[in-house]
Amino acid sequence: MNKINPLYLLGIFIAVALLMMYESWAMEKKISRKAQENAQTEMLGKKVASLKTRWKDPKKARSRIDEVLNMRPFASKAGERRYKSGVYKVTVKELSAQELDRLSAKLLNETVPFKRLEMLRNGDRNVTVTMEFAL
Amino acid sequence: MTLKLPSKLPAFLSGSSEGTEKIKTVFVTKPMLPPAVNEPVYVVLSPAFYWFREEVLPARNAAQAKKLAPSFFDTVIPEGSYEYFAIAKGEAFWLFAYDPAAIAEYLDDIGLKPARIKAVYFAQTECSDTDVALRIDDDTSLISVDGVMSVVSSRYAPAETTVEEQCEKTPRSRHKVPVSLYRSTFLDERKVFRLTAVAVAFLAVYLGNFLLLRYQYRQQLVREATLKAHYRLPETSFQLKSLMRSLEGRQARQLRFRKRFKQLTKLPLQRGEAVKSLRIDMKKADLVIALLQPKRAEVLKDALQKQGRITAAKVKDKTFYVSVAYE
Repeated sequence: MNKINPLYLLGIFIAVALLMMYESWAMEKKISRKAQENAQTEMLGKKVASLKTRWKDPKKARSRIDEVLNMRPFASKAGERRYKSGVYKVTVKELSAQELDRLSAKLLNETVPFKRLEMLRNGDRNVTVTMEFAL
Repeated sequence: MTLKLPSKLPAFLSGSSEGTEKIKTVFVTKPMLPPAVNEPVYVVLSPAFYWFREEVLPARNAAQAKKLAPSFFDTVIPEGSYEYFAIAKGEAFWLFAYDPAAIAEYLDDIGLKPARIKAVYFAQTECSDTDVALRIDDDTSLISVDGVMSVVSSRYAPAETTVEEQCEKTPRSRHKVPVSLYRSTFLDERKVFRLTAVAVAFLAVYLGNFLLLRYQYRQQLVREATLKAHYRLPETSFQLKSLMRSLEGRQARQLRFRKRFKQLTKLPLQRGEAVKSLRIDMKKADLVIALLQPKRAEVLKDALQKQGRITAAKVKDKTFYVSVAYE
């Protein structure tokens, strides 16, 4: 008893307890902030992945375009398909009005990155469509 | 509250020496009435408060003797929490065993508050030089029996002088008893140790909790790295924002392109009118439209103006050549 004053012990304990409480509080805050950041990162990551898949994936975009062009009414009419410097150029000839509607509906509903679209009426009955995609 | 009592102060600092203010001495015995004290006093403890032995020891000094003291008292004094005190006396040593908590408690009980006590002494060190008996009260006296201060009945040792009077005549020795006068009904030694144990347990639990939190934080850091690697995200938030802007801009441009194309296919053409050619990209559209009448060009021009800025418009042989700029 006469060697260490209990009040000193109490004081040291209170100081250490306060320090630990502060450290724990700060750590809890850091964890909470980091968890929020991670949730946000995950949300952003999913969004980025989705956007990349839709608009910045040349292989998938080209396969989607080719899938449409290889469909029955268009396969026989699809002309030259040329890929040069990131641009995929496709020509489809002699399309009837109905086929044109169908082709444009199909491609416009797909997530393919259009660069240019050109339609040229050949007389009264058919249309030639030239499309450029920025892959 | 704690009053520290340094044991090695020179006598002229602590004693009632000449030239300094006279400090009263109170002899404390069991039982006694609370002394009337208004200023700091010296306390001389009756032999009732300590156990004493004089021994020749294989020790060089009092500090070494103090270490040996417990072995001399262990078997002869009741079980308790004792402190030991040793003084060199010629070839021998005076050994004391005392319970500081009990002393502090008793002093507090008789109204001697720590602030009123300047120093505490044993009767053995303060009164052993006296050959005569010293009166404690009407029934008891303090007397040296073979050099050991003892309390005896006044019948066997009648005394004229009181202990206090004798103590006033002689200065206090340098052998202050290291007693912490701290005493509280709330905190005694046992309670302090219990509280300390609880405190240590609390700190251990808190430390465990803190380590757990650190582990959780590390888990969050690992998750952050995993997410970035999985989604191939750039390191900095600036780069991430830039990437998002680029991708969202690309998507917005594509959606606008589709919207504009649909608007062009819904031009208010009449039966017999037809789009001969259409060329559209991100910035503009060029159209060639076969009209039934030249004045129909104005209607179509109005419709196109809602979509963008007309940069060129010409009618030639019932054919309308028009260019629309976007953005």
